Amino acid sequence: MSFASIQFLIFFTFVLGVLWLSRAPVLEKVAKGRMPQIRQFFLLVCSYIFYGWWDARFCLLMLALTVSAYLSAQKLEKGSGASRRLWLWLGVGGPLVVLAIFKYFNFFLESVERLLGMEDIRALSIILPVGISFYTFQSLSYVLDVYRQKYAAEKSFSKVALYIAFFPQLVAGPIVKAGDFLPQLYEDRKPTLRGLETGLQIFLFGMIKKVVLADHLSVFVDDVFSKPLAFSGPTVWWAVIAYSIQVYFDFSGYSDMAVGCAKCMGYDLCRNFNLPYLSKNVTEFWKRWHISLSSWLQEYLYFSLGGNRKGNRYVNLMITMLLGGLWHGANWTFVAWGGLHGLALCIHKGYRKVAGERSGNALTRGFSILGTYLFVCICLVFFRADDFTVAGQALGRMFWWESGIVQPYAWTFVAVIGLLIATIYAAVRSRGLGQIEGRYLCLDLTRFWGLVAFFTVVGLTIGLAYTGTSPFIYFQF
Amino acid sequence: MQSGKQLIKWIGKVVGAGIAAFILLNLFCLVYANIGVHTTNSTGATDYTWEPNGFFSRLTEGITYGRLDSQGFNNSYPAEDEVDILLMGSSHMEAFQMRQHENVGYQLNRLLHQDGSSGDYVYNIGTSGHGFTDCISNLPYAMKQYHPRKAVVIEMTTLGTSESQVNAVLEGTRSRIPSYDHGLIHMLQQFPYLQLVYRQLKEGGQAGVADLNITPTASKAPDEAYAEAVNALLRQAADWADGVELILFYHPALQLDRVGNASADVDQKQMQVFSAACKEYGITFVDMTDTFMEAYEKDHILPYGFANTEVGGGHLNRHGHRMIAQELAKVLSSMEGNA
Repeated sequence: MSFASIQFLIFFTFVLGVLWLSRAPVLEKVAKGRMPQIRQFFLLVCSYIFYGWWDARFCLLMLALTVSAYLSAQKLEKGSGASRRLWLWLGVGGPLVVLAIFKYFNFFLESVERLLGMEDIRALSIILPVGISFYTFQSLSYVLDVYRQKYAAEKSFSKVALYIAFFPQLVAGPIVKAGDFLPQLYEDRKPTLRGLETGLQIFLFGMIKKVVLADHLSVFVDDVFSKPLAFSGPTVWWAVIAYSIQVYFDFSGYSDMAVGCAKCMGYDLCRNFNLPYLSKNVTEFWKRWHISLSSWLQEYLYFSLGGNRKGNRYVNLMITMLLGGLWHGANWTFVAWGGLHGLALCIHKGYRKVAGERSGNALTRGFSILGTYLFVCICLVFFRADDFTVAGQALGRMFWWESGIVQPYAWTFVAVIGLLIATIYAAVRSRGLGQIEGRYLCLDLTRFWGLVAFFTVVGLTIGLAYTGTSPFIYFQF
Repeated sequence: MQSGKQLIKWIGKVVGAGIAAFILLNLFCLVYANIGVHTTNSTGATDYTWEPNGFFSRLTEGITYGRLDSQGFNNSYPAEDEVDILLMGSSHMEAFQMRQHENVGYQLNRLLHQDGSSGDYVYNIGTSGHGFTDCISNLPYAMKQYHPRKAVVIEMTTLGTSESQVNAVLEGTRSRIPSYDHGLIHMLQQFPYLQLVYRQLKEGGQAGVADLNITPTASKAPDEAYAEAVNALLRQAADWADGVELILFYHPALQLDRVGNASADVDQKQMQVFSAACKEYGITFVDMTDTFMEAYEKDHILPYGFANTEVGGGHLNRHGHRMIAQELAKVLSSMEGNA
């Protein structure tokens, strides 16, 4: 069940309706102070229904990972020495093995068979459970936090289960850390009018990004990347720019919907994007792009490898980025994408070590932003292409400017304008903060004109939505 | 009590804001997608017509706006008293996707009014949803209504047809595209935003192209049955044309493969049967396949698709219309020469 579907609308209205009813004083009295737990249990059941909508078998896998995380954390807290290490290996290794089997087994098998020149390539028929990378990482973060004694092992199984399965962020993030979510389960979180007002607007904002802008852009991007040799150089550039906006709006739109959904129910999720295309260098880009993943990789992978302190920091960084690339999908193109970013991060860190921190003037900052954006765009060719042949064809067209079909796709202009308006709005609102921060524009729905604007935007979203099939890009991860 | 009053006040605001938003959305749709309302065409020349002199705008496929003529068809070339050439067809000929002076009807008029040309006047009654067999079915009524002096040109997007379709045409039992001339639905159609939402819900993934091939094709029909059906249909069409030159033009969809080579999805057996049948009944058959292919191979120009839609998909674009108009002008001029 995707956020952008009628089924989800019905499902979410039901969930919200029940949660709202649970606020009734009569019910609170009957529950004798246990209403927060009842609400959480209800949310847990709903989360499993949400996930089981794709395939009921997926629920068993998620449950197994939850049991593994819960037990490991309990044992890690109580154990010491060798037993602690054993439970760490089980708690971390178990989910990783599951992820490796479901997501990467065929990929590695095919890669090895190709390397050995085997013609009859065999593959196992394995369904990739949607969102497996996200909830696996959440369970890992919980186990590692308990191991590092950043967070005490949670006694309640249902709380751990809800942390891993919470449906707004279950299938495409943001990847929430245990320390950010579990404490919320000890508070009496419930829907409020203010939360609904804000949450619905954030959800709508994400919906516009996804179904109006990203999905329309996908038409052009899919056309060009299915046959780059048919298009002229400038058109391929235009498609790459379109893709940079599509992938940003698609994923940040989903994150906004997740944040909005959670807010409606009284929960807070972390922000996942912060105007990434305003980054002046690659290091800043990774602080603004998919923040929950980059901070996860930094905290649980880069630091585990030694970070800046142990071993070679550049090697650690490269390993982190290569694995980060692979996390996005079982394809060498993702590894290449991660590798290019890793290389750029190493170069930037090396440069900063030699030249020191420089803020520069407005012109230099402008060029830095443009340069970073172009680099990100070129890397995205590998991210989008099905294989290296297609990536090579697209890059060939971009840098050799050969003739072909010219398509000045209009929705890209619309999206660029939308992005510029959002950036200007954020810049105005961020005055005095030192750097531009992304902002949600939330209207006051108790006022007449606030309601008019809200209904108009809802109407426009329905009228302008792309009606073809275009799944969320990050579902595949 | 106080909160009850506040709630009622807020509900009042919600209702008022809903009405205001609805008005704003309809104003927006006047520019973005003003589809218009159609009513039954009592002459039978087409199944329906749009509102006479109606304003249309489309930003959903192509970026355009225009005004229909006094009969509800998309003609902007200065009208003449007599129709020399009648143009019939589907939404491709209706051409709501491009500026009015770029469609086949207008361009053909312009080419035929150049110095040294025949000066014939072309009247376009192309209407969405009217496939080839629908046009043939309406032909006798169109002849009666417009009395074209020189030719009738009918557009085709497919060569496929079936025995049942042909029988429906020959027996006059074809079900016509319905219009809601009165009642609630007619009234609701007046709101462009409601029309847009209806289309969004109905068309799903096929927005803008759903009406291209509403007549099911029968490409897998046995050859003999196909030949019989085509012959029966064209024999009847030639008869209904009543001595006026009948021209059928076919424009196929083009596909691009992974390395950018184009191919047309044309069933060669059907093509042979169809062109032979046309010859048999004195019908001029124009096939746009080679012209389209040449334009792509030479200049990377595709006849379909717009700057806001899939590349090479959907309706004919201005290049497609220009190529067709030029080809038809050539055919009409050569007929003039032969005469």
